[in-house]
Amino acid sequence: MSLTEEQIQRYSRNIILEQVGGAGQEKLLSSRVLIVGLGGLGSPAALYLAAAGVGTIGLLDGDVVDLTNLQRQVIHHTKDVGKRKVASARSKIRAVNPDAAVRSHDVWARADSIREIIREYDFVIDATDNFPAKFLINDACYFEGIPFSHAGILQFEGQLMTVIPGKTACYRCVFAGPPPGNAGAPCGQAGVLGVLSGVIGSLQATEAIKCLLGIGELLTGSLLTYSALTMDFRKVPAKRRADCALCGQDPTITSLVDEGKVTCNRKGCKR
Amino acid sequence: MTAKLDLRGVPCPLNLVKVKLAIEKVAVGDILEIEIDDGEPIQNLPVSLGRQGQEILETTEQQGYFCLKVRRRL
Amino acid sequence: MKSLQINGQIRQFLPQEMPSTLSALLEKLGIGATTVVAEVDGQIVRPEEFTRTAVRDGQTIELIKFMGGG
Repeated sequence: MSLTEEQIQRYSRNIILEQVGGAGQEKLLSSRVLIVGLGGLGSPAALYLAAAGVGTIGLLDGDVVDLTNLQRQVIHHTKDVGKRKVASARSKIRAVNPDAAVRSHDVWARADSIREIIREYDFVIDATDNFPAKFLINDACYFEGIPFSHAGILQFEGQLMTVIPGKTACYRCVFAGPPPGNAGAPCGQAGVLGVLSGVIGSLQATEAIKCLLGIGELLTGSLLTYSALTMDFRKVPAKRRADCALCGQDPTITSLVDEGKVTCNRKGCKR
Repeated sequence: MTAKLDLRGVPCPLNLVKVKLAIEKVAVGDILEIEIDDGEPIQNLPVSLGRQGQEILETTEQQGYFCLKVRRRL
Repeated sequence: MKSLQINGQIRQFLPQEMPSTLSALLEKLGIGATTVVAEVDGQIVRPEEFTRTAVRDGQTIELIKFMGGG
């Protein structure tokens, strides 16, 4: 594979970087990243990965664009309200960079199908908006051995952690399972500062690119927390737990299960 | 071995990008001969290459352009 | 005075007001016990262990919220 004249210009600011160069750019172009959830986190992640020249971008979301999404889900435009999210996101990615091949998975993340999908990718971005999906992705990536970026946001705060399955602490090492009841605060009712998802989703894309290129230090073994109100970024150490139900010494989770079910029927909500 | 690259007419910073790509293709220790324009390119490129750890062996002025000999160090 | 470092910030307590368990600490801070996991001196403590996890002067405690949004 060699870069075309147009690619050399398009990716010039990447190539100039000592840690990227032409070889790194070619590696990005031959890489495959799956983004699960095309909402607040998935929007900036998809746009930056496309712009950076990640060659194959998988999009997984079974939702349609809702007017209430537009305050933060910047990949969807006003004219897209009512369209499938994967179709809306695909057209923006192709407009940003025709080098990026898009694979659309217009489905919800489910235990019976997620493993076959994620094994086609080199890195997974968990940009989902509910706990059952977050644990499902954690577990599926562990079973398939695919590195992924976990993130969650709430009101003015976000958190982020990269997991190399079997090597670094997983989501379940920190949070054993979904919080009881509605403790995690349901979607629309808690509110979220739109730009917060831009910050955290962009950090997820950063981790994906670093992992694909093998550069720098990944955010493994610690959970990064961010507060938009105080501008505090903090790294909280997160060690692997010997008694983790998934990646511990005596695991009790040995196959995928759907954690909980859809409990909210509000339009545009999937809790 | 010496590789050659004519970058006359290629502006900054695209000329640096092209040099980087060319340097990746020669072996460490080998030499790349580059032809670049007067003005911005001759002011910027040697400095940038030096900063990236490459060795400038020779700079010679030709008629209206410069010839740069660079040894790949990294 | 007794003190705890909570999420990077030092908090001081009068000896008689120093919470004795994680549950008591969360109550004092007004944080719902099911909304966080805790890390005490680097060890993760799950919500079901809060009532029996003692809190002592000088400990470093991280309270990590469940964040399900995206």
